[in-house]
Amino acid sequence: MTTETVHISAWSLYQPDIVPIRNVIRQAIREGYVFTRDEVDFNKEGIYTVAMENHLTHLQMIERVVEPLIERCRQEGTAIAEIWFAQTSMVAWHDRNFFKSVLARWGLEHVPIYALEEYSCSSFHSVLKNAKIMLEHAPNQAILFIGCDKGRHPLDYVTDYVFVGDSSAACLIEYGKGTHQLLAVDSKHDKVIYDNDEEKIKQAYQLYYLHIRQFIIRMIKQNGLKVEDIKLVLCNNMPNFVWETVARTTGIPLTKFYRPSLHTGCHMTNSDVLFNLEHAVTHEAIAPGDYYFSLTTGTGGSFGCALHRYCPPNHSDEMQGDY
Amino acid sequence: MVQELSSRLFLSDLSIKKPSSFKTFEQCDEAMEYELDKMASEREHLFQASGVPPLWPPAADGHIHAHHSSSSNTSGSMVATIAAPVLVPAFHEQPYDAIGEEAVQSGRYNDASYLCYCHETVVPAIIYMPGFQLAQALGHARTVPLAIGQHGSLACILGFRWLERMLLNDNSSHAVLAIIDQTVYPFSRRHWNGYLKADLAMWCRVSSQDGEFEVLSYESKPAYLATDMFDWTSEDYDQAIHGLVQQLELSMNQGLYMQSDLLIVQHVSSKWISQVERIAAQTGISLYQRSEWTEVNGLGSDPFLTLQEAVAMGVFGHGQTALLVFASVDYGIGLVRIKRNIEATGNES
Repeated sequence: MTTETVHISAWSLYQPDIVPIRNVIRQAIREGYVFTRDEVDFNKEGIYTVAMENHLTHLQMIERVVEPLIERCRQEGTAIAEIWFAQTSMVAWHDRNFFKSVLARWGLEHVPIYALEEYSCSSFHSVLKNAKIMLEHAPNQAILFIGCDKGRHPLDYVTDYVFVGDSSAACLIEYGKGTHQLLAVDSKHDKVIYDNDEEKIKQAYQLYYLHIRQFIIRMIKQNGLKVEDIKLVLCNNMPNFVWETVARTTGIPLTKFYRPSLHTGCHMTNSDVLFNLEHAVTHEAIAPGDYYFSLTTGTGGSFGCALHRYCPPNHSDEMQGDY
Repeated sequence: MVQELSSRLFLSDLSIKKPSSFKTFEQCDEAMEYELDKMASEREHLFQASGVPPLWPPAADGHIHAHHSSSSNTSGSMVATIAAPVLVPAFHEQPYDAIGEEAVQSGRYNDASYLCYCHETVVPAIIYMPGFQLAQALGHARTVPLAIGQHGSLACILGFRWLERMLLNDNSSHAVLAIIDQTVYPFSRRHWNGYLKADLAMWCRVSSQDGEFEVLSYESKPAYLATDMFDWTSEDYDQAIHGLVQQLELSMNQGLYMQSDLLIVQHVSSKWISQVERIAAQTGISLYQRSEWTEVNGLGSDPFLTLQEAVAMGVFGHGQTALLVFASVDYGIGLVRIKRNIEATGNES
């Protein structure tokens, strides 16, 4: 089925081998990291293993997911208008051209590459938002999203609340073509506090969750839906307290917050949502016609959310009038 | 292919922030006095695991082009070796707070709908988010920010593309383009045979309605070596400069650029500048070179520093067009053709 909106038309994922968090904790402690929680605490949150790449380079991880999508575009005669690359880990180059060794092979030497940084783990939604605007002006082209992170040091894998896993993911965003319709999308950076004033930080967090709630409720209402119509919330693999708070403030049951990849790869920065989407489709957690949200939070008060509808090709045409 | 603008794009209220202090090259490179030095040990691991040598890129055989500290007249600068005291414009602190304050106090950039922050250098850690910070200062979180990096000195070409699209969608508002660079340890200011990297920042108002300068076209022209920059030698650097020159020469032969009244180029290296002088002479386009900090590379803001001086000196008159050339050895060149409007306050005649 095609509709006159933007769709996620295809995706490709790569998750490296997983290692027990026990090993990651041990390595981090050796580097001087002081944990405020122990392994058992993490296990209680469903965190057991972390994805860790030990063989491929950062660029090889990207090639692994991008090449099937480029081949698909080639076969379908679709031009890639822009590449949006999201990387949360710190970049270690200035004017070194990271992509140059693959661009000619991909045939994308002249395609603009936006390297997103500040939206950190909510970059996915910033890309969806920009892609939607772009594709409305160039409906016959595609946007290629790439999210890839690879830690360079044991401390890159740890935070106080969640472990950060290596991964790469890519997806194509196209107009009027694909099975995952994008009904609405927004991303935002909220007020950031630049000092350690606890009261100000507390207030900022309250506002942050309030804004997430506003975005979700507004999207539901603007699309003539009710909270009960939302089948799932595909969120990024942040710790429980984040989604408990969002569930409480929006009225969406916590059981609908779907992040099975947390249990294997842990928080895989900008790949989480696509991993969770893949899981939802393959395990039939969403059915044709279902509405679902994707939701991400990032460093520095950034967050993003999108309302989608699952419309596979064999989905009955009788549903078309519902859009 | 030249990016044809689907709507008009204007720049105005161009501001440049130059460091008020200068450091000797040794101070910059070793960062012994940097407040950021405390973060250095944390950052060392970036290099250990990725196979990148510390203080990358390495020096070019000790020959550094920069200003001699005893030269008060910057136009009389000379090629110095590392043995001589060399000064480099360097922000002593992170410049983002000061830029935000200056921009807000001027009152010319407030309530921007979009903020595009372009950079070549990287901040010390991901917790520093200059784009978010400036957007917050200018628009109280209503401003949509986008940080564009990993494109060398050509980031503003992507910035123009993004801003054009956003303002086309929202033509009642304005945006701010900011290009800010500060090299922090353990990154080096050395660039093989190139000029030392200086810290510099620019910001301006961007609108689809009016402004002092109209952007007539912008484009990136890829030109880079196959060799990974981590493995470069001085010879590779020179080869990359040669590639940039070739690309510029090819581009200048396009009729569109030949019509420019003025040529303003990024100060990348002495070899690049001498070749640009040759191309300018061949094409008959007037090359304007700034009088201060001629032998340092101000990265993405560099051509704007020269542009500002050209306007102040009366060299770039109303109704004239200028071609700004951005150059980055591992990316290629960026070409931005602008026209200075008849009325300095804005409206295109």
